[in-house]
Parts: sequence; C-alpha cells; structure tokens
Amino acid sequence: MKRTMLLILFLVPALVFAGETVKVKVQKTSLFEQPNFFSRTVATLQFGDQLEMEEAVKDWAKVKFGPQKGYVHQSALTSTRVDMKTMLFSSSSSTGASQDEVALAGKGFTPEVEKNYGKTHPEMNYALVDEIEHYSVDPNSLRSFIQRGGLKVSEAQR
Amino acid sequence: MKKILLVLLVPMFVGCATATQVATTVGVSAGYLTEGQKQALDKTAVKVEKAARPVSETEEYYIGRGVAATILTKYSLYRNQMVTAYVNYVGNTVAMGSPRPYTYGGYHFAVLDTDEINAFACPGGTIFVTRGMLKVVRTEDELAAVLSHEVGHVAQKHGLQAISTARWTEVVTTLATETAKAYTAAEMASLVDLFQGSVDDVFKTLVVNGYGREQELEADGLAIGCMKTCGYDGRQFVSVLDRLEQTSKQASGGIFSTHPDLAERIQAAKGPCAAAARPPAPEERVVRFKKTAVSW
Repeated sequence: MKRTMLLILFLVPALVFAGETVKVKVQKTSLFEQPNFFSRTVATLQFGDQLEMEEAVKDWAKVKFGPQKGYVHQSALTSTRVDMKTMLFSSSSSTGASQDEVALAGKGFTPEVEKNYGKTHPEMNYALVDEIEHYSVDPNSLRSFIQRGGLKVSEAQR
Repeated sequence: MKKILLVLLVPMFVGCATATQVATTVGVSAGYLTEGQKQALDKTAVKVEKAARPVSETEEYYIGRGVAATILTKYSLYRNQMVTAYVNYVGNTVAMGSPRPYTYGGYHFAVLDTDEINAFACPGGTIFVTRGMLKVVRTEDELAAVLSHEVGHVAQKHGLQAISTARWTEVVTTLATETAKAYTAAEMASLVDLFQGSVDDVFKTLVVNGYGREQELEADGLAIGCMKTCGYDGRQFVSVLDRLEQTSKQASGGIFSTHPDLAERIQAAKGPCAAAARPPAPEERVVRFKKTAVSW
C-alpha cells in the first residue's frame, strides 16, 4: 500500500502543463521572441504577471501573455499548482520546485521585516547592498562580450 | 486502512488543509473515522503543510540581502569600475549557463577589498569575490571557474540549507502561513529575531564553517557544466583548484579554513573537466583579462 501511495504521488508531474496558468516569480524578466537569452524582447514581464503555458521547450516555456506569444525561461516561472512531492518529502527549508511563489510573497520574511531588522541593526549597510543590486549589465554589451570572447551561451536551447 | 488512505489522498491532491478537513468530516459521517481521529488528522495536515513550506524565492532574496549586508560589515567593497564590470560580465555569462539563470533579484557580482582568498555566494544571487582570490586566477576561464562554483551554490540553494530546520519550522508554523496581514508588534519582533537567526545561520556557514563536502562537490559539478555550456575551458577549473591547493601550503584562513578538502575536489573534478576541454581562448579573451587584471 505504501508503494502504491508513493507511486501515485510521484506520478503527479512537477513541471507545468499546457494550458496551465503560470506566474512570473522574479522581479523582472523578458518575454523573448525565441527561446534564447539574446532574442528580441517581445514584452517586459513583472513579478506576478500571469501567463498561459503552451508548451515546454527544454528549459524554456512557450507562453501567451495577453495577445503576445513568446518564450520565458522556466526558472523565472512558478506554477499555481501545489507540488505534493515537494510538500511531503522536502526535508529541509531549501527545496524549491512548484510552490506558488507569488502567493507566498508578503508572508514570512518581507520588506517590512527587513526594514525592522535594519532599524535594530544600524551597522547593516543596506545602501551598499542596494548599490550592488542596482549595478546591471547591458544585455547588448553582454552579448558582445560573449561573442567576442569566443563563448556561446546565447545558443540557449540546451 | 485503505479507506483512511483514500480519505487522505483526495485532499492531498487538492493540496490544502481545508480540503483535508472536508475529507475527514466525510470520513466521520461515513463511519470511517472517529471524531478523535478526525481532529488528530486535521491537526497533522495543518502542521505538515506549514512545516513543509520551503523558503520562498522572495524570502531567499531578503535573507540573501541580510547575508550580503553582514558580509559588508566585515569587508569593504572594492570600487573599481573596470574590475566590477568585468566580474559582472563573466559572472552573468556563467549564470546564464547554469540550471537557474533567473532568481528573484537576479545575479550580482561584487569585489571585496581584501587580500584574503575567498568568494561567497549569498542566497538569491549576490556573489562576492575577494581581490585576494582575483590575484590567484590567471585567465578569464579560471575566473569563470570560481564564479561558476559560487553560482552553483546559489542554483542549488545551498546557503538556505544552513538555516536550522527548527528555526524555519518556527517561522512557518507560528507566523507565516496566515494570509497577508499587518503583524502585531510582538509578531514582528519575533519575525525579526527569526530573520536575524536565519541570516546568522547562513553567514556562519559561508564565512566561518564552510559548506559540507557534498555541497562543495555538487557546486563543482554544476560549475564544470556551466563552463562547458558557455564555452569556457573546463580543464581550467582543475588548474585554479591546483593553484589554490599550492597556495594553501603557504597561506591560511579565508577559503582554506572553509574549504579544507581541495585534494578530494581536484580528484573528483579531473574526469568531468577533461570532458569539458575547449580550444585555447581567442586573443580577445586573453587581452581583456590581462587588461583588467592589472587593476585588482
């Protein structure tokens, strides 16, 4: 009986289904024309944006965003389904997988918690952390860096 | 037993404690469960759901910011535009070749102004490398090896594994599963304490104790994969580990106190690195490294 139960649970796929609504779980990402980091950006997506899954293309998801279609890397997406495997068998605090990340925002450790932590720990220089995070690499310069260096990450259909 | 299992399995697929409560109510009505069994199962279902919730990506981000802020109380930031840009170009390149190219706040690379040989991966994607470590690497490929290893720790969320299970369970069970609301002063004070404890757990692992053997080997494997995907010469992963091992004979502290098992890692990496060999770097890659390296 235990085996049957485990089998049933593991048959529940962790990946997203075609037609399923998925959400953007990162602050910002691109809806690309092709499954490629340096493809043309069709639209800029924000945390919580809802997309309709069409199909998985290796590490990428072909999605619809309103009237627009394109590709988003799957690491930027969260499923709205609950992944029972993660829920039941994760033994530590670290396991990620398909929880609804967007629904979890605003719970636990939030900007408000950080703000209160900063007040009680003035030695923490969050301005410096912000400075590091605000430094960004221009995608066109990065593409040029990769190409001129004889590298090839832009051929992204791994 | 089968009936009880069925009663439990249905709500499990729905995935919420409320559904469990519905099912146990049905179970009581149908005579499968006593009221006492129902209450026990309801409590267990709620507890399992709460305790099993992993750290969310936004929480990972805020923990990572706390860890970065803590590291910056110990080390100064090296503000050299050319060096910062170069480290970010190489770092973002290898991050794109990783299994987790996107995190909530993205990958950011910064240089610490110290001769100590070290590198740190904060949860969520802020990665520090020291000037001491930069002086160890001889090529862009070796720098890519160092940064890939740190990206590997981020991709596998190794930092978060340092948070004590008891602490995280307390976060989730006492406060975090409520719907979004304004916390009372006491709840907020408790959350701030738990946040500080979580940040300290990760900081101690990164800076004082180091990751476990399995985590280091896992990050190495991912790093070699990243290098191969990006077109860096995987053999240079071993060359930088070799140099670190040689350096460890004359130096102490920093990475040598948190990464004592370099010989084993070198041995484990040799095979995969040979398979990730690439032709010599083009002139452009060699020149830009040399041009930047004079500034670190």
